[in-house]
Amino acid sequence: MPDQIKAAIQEIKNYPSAIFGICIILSLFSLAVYSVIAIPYQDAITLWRADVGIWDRTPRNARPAWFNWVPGVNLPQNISSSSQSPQAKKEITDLGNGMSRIVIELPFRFDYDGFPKEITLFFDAEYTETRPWVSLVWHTPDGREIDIVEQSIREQERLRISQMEDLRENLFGYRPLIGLFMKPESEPPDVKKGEYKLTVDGLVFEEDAQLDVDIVVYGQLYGAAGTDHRRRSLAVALMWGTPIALAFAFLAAVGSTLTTMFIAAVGVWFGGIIDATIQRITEVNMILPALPIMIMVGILYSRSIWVMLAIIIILGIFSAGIKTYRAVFLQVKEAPYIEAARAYGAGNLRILIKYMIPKVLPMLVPQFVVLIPSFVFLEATLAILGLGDPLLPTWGKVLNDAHQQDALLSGQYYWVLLPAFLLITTGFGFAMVGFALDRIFNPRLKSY
Amino acid sequence: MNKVNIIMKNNPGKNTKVSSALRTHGLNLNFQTQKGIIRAVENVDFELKDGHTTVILGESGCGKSSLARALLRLLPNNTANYDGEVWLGGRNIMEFSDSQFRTQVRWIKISLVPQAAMNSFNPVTKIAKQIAEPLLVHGKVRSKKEAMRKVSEVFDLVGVPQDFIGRYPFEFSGGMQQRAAIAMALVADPDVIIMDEPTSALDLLTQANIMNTLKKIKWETGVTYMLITHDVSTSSELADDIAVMYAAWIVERAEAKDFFDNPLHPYSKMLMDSVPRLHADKTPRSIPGTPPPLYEMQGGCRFAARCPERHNDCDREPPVFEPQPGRKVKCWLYKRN
Amino acid sequence: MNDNPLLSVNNLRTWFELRKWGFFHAGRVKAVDGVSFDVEKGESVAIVGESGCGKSTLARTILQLYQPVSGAIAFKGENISRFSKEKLQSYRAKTGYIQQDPYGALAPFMNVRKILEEPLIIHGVKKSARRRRAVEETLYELNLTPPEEILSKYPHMLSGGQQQRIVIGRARILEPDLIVADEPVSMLDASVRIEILQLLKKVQKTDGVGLIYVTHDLSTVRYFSDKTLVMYAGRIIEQAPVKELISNPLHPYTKALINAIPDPDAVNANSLRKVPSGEAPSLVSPPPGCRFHPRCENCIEGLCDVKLPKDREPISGHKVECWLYE
Ligand SMILES: Nc1ncnc2c1ncn2[C@@H]1O[C@H](COP(=O)(O)OP(=O)(O)O)[C@@H](O)[C@H]1O
Ligand SMILES: Nc1ncnc2c1ncn2[C@@H]1O[C@H](COP(=O)(O)OP(=O)(O)O)[C@@H](O)[C@H]1O
Ligand SMILES: [Mg+2]
Ligand SMILES: [Mg+2]
Repeated sequence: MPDQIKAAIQEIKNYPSAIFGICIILSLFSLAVYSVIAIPYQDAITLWRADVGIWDRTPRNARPAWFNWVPGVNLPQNISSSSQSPQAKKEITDLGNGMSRIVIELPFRFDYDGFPKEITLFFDAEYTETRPWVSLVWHTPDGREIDIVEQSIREQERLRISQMEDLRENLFGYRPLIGLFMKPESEPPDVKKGEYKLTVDGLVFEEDAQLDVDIVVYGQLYGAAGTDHRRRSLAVALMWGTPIALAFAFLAAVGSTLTTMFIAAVGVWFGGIIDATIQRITEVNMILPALPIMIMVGILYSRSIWVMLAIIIILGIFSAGIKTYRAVFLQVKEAPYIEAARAYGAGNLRILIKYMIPKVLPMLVPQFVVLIPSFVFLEATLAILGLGDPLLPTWGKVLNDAHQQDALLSGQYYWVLLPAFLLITTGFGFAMVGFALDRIFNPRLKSY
Repeated sequence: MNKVNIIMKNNPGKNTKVSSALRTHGLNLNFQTQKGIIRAVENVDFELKDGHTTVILGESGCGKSSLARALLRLLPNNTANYDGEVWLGGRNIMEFSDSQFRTQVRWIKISLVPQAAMNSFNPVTKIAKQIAEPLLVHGKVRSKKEAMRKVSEVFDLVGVPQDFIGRYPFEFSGGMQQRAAIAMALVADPDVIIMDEPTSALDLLTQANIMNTLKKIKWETGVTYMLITHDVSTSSELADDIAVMYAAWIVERAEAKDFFDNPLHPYSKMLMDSVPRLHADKTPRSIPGTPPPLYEMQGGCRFAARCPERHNDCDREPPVFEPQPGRKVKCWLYKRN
Repeated sequence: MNDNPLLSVNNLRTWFELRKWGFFHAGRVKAVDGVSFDVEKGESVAIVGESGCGKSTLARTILQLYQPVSGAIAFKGENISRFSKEKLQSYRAKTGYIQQDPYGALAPFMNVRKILEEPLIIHGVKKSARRRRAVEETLYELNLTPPEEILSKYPHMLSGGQQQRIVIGRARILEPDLIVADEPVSMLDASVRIEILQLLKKVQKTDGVGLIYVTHDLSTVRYFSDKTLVMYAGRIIEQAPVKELISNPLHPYTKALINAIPDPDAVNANSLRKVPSGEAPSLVSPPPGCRFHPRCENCIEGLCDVKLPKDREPISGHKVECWLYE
């Protein structure tokens, strides 16, 4: 067996398409391993559940960051600046009576051609009774100072500057999002590039009161894959979708092919009633439609990916594969070496496991490789139909979201294309390797 | 059914001067494989005398079937090299184009009873129809009826009962299928019939019966046979001339009587010694070692590694010597001083 | 116990049911139909017959791979059909089996070491060092050296002759008392056949095992066997020491068989051989009376085509089943 595998590896070098396929599979595999290490399972679930507070600082429906690689495109990235960061200035003056003045300067550069999506301030104040009082001033690169607001703030106050419509009058009549960043008098509004600054002039009224603030200028671009309507980074789902897809498909393929093979071997070896029963079950099972059954289970029982996996395996065991393997085993059973084994006293189980299955196993390898993408697609299909796992991020669920949000209609084609690309690449990679392996292991197809 | 009386009609073995039906000169056939080039037929010179039976004798894998393929130009896709001369009726048929070869040579002049002929019939067509096919394709007959008449003639010749004409291959026993394959090779009246191991898959008695039939056909029609076999004993049933093949070379050529009485090449001697004899008490001796693989040929004599009589000369490829008139041996032992 | 033959086969019948559409009874193939013979300890017995006459079925029935419909096989005096499971397992250890197709007889995915170890493992040789020693010893006896090189090879890397040596090695690694070799050389090259048969003979002589050599090739029997049984259409029609059988065949079928086999000689080409025409009969509906009578030139009408001839021993040690010797 190892000999055969060695020979197969030798031979696969002659198939450039297979080498390409192997590269794809290895990349997918590395991506899967990286994802699992970089984002532990529990984190992935929490991230995807989008618990409160997790995705506050990412833009909604942003495009992938690599949009800016296109020459001439320079859309704003996500910018955030914190009072605790080294660039920020924070001056505290004791005013006596337990009162202090805290002046925070939050500088940031804005060098893009487009306007941001939102601007939000995240305050972090500590006090016991009296709320701090802040006044905010916006400094533009050309030296203008725009008063934004004066108000008291609560502990975790959020000020959505982009929604302060009453600023319009100071901003040439434009919405703050545009007005704060535009060149004065430009028509249509043009971005004023350069160093911006927000000063937060705060008063705290208690001895150990604290005041910190972060500013987030939400970009139009975010991360490797953009974000969705719930501000979740799609990269998380696409990355984590890889190990899930591979594991799911691998388990489904192992589960159905190996058991199928074993059952087929048992039927052939013992024959008679056992064989007939297996045949009849298979025939009944073959006319049961698998997808509708899974949809039913998904609707009525559980959409957990593991439940689906179990059902796929159970439905897969008595699949048409049994008939294929049976035909092969019927030949193997007649092989003289099996008769020889009986003559020197090998028992039934030994013959099944040590003599019959290893003979057919090489035939299974290419089939197995080709089966994997089909299970990846099956999972995606279920997810697109709304029967995806409720917790785990998968490629199919990304597609499902995209579909529900009419991503294509609103120009967010990356939302559809990226998961689709991953699905197709997976199918492609495995198929190319599988076909080459088929030619190697089943050399009937091979001309000299 | 078989007439047991001995017919000695037109036995050409007795004539001294016979023209050749087919002659090759420097015939080569190489295959490309992943292990390298396989030289299955190398620099083969031999002749089939008109009306004689020439037996190509050799262990399996030595290139006998490939030689047949080379003569019939039935080349596999991985053929790497195919050259040399094949003279048939005064013309070098190697110079023929493929279509010329198909319409003028194959099956018309040279036909083949393939190895494992019993599996070579299309299972869903009546055998008689398949036999008539070459006649119709080559326009040898004007009508289907005439073709069928010809088929029934050759069925008589090879001993297939007439009522088998309407039957399908599965209704023929192994022996009958073999006879049908011979009938198919005979149907277009070729000059040369190549038979690749025609009886080795058959039972003893069937084998003997078919050998009898082949003899009768030969005596009645004067056809030239090239009989390929590894079975020395059976070959003697039909042989007028013998050509011994070893690792893609023809190492010895002789008339059958000379050969069986006194083989010259060391390999031929050992081959003869290895034959178990039923009627004589002579314990057979095996030939130690195995033939060299045909893809890693070194220079020198290919039999040298197994040869009990090897000496220094054997490091170089031996030329063909003619120690006695009509006997050709590719061995340094017969170098003339 | 001591005057019991090693193996005694008595009126054995092995038939196969033919079923139409896998269900309805459509006849029986009477592949072995009333066969009796003995194999003494250390004796080499040849069974000769044309293909399809039931030789392999007989061999397999002896090895308990097929169950007979009637008759008995006694091994050292004990009826093997009454063996318990454990007894049957030890019977399997005491019998070796060599098949026709050496490549098919070796599991293609096992290397030589595994192949030779399997019988040892199955029969409870637990210590791997002991197994290793047995395997290496076997390889030395089979001239397959150096063992380290051979042990890791897979069957397809070996020549046909080497494969058959491994098969022989596997058959004798448990030190059996009886080896059944079913056409052990018919798929090998002519030049290797003799070598393998000589090896088999050597193993048989040195181990003192009983050997049943099944073949269709009478000419090899002459050099490798003591007693010869001629089988035709499921029955043994003649048995005699091999030299006696060849020089003085009694049954017309044996005569025809011996007549049909040429020795290499140029004069063969000058005459036709005397061969009975026709083919061996169907085993589903064999002809009544003597099974050879439709092809027999000495057929006595009203006798041979009616009644099965009895087993006679016209010459001591030379038995024949033919009405001519009544
Ligand atoms: N199409 C082919 N491609 C590669 N090798 C071949 C091909 N046909 C035959 N051979 C090899 O050529 C050698 C001679 O084969 P063949 O002519 O069939 O021998 P023979 O008929 O004497 O048994 C063998 O080693 C065989 O494996
Ligand atoms: N398992 C089987 N089922 C049905 N028929 C069989 C089976 N094995 C052998 N036969 C038939 O029994 C007859 C004898 O076969 P076999 O013993 O193999 O003959 P041999 O070994 O002499 O060639 C043949 O006609 C064969 O078709
Ligand atoms: Mg051949
Ligand atoms: Mg047999």
